[in-house]
Amino acid sequence: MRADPGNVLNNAFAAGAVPVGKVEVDWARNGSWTDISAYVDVSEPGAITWQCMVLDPNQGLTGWGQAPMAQASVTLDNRDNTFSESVSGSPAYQYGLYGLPIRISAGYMDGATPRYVPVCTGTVVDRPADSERDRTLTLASRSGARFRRRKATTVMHRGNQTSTWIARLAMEAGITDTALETGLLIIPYAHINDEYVLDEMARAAASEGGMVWFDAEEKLRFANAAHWVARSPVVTYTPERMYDIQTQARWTNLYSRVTVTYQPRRSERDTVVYSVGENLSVPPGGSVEHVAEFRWPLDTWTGVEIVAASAGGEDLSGYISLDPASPVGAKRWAMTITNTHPTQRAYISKLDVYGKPLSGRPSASISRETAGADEEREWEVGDNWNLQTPAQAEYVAELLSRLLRGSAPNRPRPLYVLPNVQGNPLLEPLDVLAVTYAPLGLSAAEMILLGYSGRFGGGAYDMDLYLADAAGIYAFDRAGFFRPGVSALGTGRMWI
Amino acid sequence: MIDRWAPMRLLTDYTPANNDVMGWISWLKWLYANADWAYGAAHANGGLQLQSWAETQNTIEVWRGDVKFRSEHPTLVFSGRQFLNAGDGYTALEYYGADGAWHTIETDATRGSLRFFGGTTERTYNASGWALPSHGVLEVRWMIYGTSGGWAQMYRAYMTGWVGLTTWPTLPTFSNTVHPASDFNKLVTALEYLRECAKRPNLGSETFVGTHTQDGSYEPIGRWCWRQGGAKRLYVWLAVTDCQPGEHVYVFLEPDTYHPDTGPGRLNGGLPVVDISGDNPGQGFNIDLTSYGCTVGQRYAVEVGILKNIRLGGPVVTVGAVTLGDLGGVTRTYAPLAEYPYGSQPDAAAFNRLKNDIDQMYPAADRESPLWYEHPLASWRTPDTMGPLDRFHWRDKRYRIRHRGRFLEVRTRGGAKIVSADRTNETTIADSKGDPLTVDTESIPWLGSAFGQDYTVESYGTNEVLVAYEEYE
Repeated sequence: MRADPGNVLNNAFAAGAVPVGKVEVDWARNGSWTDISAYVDVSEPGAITWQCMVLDPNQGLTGWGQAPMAQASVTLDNRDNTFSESVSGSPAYQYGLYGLPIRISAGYMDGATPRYVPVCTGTVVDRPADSERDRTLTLASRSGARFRRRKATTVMHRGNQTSTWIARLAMEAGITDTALETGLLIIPYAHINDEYVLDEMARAAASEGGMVWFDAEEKLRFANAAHWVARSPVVTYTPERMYDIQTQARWTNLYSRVTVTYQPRRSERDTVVYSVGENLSVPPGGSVEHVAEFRWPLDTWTGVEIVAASAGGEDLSGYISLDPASPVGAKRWAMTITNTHPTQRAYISKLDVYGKPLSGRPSASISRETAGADEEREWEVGDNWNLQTPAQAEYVAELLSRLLRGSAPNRPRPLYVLPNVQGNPLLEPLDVLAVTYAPLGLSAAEMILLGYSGRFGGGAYDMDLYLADAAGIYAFDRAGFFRPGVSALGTGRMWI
Repeated sequence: MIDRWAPMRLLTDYTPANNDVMGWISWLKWLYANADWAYGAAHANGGLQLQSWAETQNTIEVWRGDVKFRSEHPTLVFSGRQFLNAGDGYTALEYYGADGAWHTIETDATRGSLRFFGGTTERTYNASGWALPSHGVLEVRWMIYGTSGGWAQMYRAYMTGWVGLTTWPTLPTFSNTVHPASDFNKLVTALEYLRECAKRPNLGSETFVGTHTQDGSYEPIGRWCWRQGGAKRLYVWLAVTDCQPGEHVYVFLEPDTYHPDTGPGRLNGGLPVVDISGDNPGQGFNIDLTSYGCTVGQRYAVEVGILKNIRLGGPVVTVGAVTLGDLGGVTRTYAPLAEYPYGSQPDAAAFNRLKNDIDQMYPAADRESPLWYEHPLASWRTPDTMGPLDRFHWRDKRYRIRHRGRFLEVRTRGGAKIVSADRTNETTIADSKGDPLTVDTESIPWLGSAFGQDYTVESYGTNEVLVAYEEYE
């Protein structure tokens, strides 16, 4: 749960609390926020909606590790054409709407002081349905969308903890605001080759059963699978009526076995990973662009051998230079080839890149029984380049076997929805909540908040909370797991 | 070394922000696994370095050896003893350079007295500035030059030094209290250190059929040396033919710088540890080195020799194997006793036991299973003339290797054969024209994954293997 600016938590459980909401945009994309709340018709229920999930409810618990992007929707009064891109003089005309940073905050009056807490920060990705000259305009935003299409290429990174690799990817994508928990496992070889950074982050997180997502302030977060160790419930909900709590028995979460496949990698001896396929021709005093795509990803680059000659056979090898002088990618080298000879065109007949390539070893699998289903139903985890060691496979298998286990065979882990609870902007996905509802046998039952959807407008601020029952995930008191620097030997329990 | 090292990470002190925890599958299990791996490496079954010797009236190569040069271990250590006749003779230690020429490392022209090369038991040289051929193999030879001749025996040659590698940490003593992450991380660091120690070549012992023609005397036909560690069993396989009454085949244990005149003297009071006094179709002898006072850290040699009567001919010895291994009741004082799966509560005793187990593999003479990191040079085969057996001739020379490295490094002239120890599989390898050649053992179906199995690299017909050993990368 996030820091309380002043009585927000109290008001979230108080009858008669006065909710407040705010919408801001950063027109110039320079970190300077403009309050556009005046354009929001807060008399309309659901004038502002948002959703933040770390688990896609449709995919179930097997989607662990792959968080959908948080999203929001704001309906705005556009009678003055502030949000009309075709109307000269409007901010939308000057700055454009697509990719516009937008921040939604909610909270409560604390006496005479409004207390706001950001609930969704992102960038505008859509303007569904409405014509920009209509009286109202609805903007849709997503957290992290500005980074969604960012690609990167890196050299091989060896022996990184998962969190270190995610941090590196964040740097490549220009994501500067991060809060990453410690990666508990090592990815022996990691690289990205002109691929989407966010996708690779999700794969990295999934390789140790962790989670990557953008929080309410669009900060990149990584939680490891031990996230709930030593975390207590932050709030308690006590639904009064049957409508106040919905159970979801997703049979798609029933499995008898989890199997995780990994493929070890190995660094080989020096070999040529790229040879130019046809003569490259570089004019005198000129340059050409060339991309060398390697046959195998390089663990380490050793060197490049170039042979160049003129049409008359004069050796021009010494006049050829490459920029950059070494590959910036494990699998590719985009280079500028320059011929400094003043009069002769250089024909490059040999451009061999060599180094220690990475080879894939035979795959192997590790399975764990989940006792979730009587019949044979296997959940297979694989197709993740970052799963390379038995440690990772064993860990993820053990983790998922606990997660997918219900109270008894053929009883999937219960999922719950608390609909229409009074809004609490301090809640974050993965918070632990306690729920008491006697008809379902829940007495301060600990639940993991998988996500929420929020609504503001019409004088109301409420949320739907999506929860997973935490019962049985841990066989021991969560606070008792071994924390270095905190737990005493002989007392602290081994985590997975 | 068999590549099964598990990645390990360093812990951090827990905060709610970093959420670091110690787990079994996620951390501790792999420290145990890697400690087991390091122990196996410290008790590696393997071949010994051949000590060669020579006698001449003019110029002769006494010894030659190969090692892949690594900048982490840049110091060459060499030991030999010589006696030069009066005249113009001198010994020279040389390395083969990138320019295709031999370069002098050191010479010794002291004549008329038995002495160590260079005047000291060991000579050390910094090889980091030597310009070596592009294949990266350091080839060293020891020569007697001149016209007056003499005798010389090589004792030991290896690379050492520790440059740019992990520093051994001061290991903590654990108690049932709170320890910072840094204490646990020292176990990780120590294991990484041991892994670096284990990165060394795997030699093959040179085996052969030999005899001598020196009537009425004992003559050694082979000497192999090692540095004593945790492996305390020496295995020698011998077969003997034409051994007449009064003749013996002896096996002696001695310090690696043994000399009958100046000492140091042999172990076992000078008596042989194996005495074969008649024909023997083939027998393996397991020698408990501890019972002869071999102490950890010291360097020893095993000598096989023949006592021959005055007659034509003499006993012919087939040396089939000379390897180090473990005794049946090997001690691993701090061997792991338990696993600590999810939910278990390992205490200080468990961590101290693990710490002590790791510590006992530190490369020092006072440890139970030191993981020596020296890289011994693989001795070249002395010339095999294929001629009649006599004092200076051997036959059927082979390198017998206990397979545990992926890459077989060889030099051949004409070619060579790789043969399984049971002689059921063989593969021919190419003529390297005397240059280093790497054979990826994974390309040989019967050999690639047969770790722990012996095989030989041998000449056939007029094709000759010059040197053979395994590398790990």
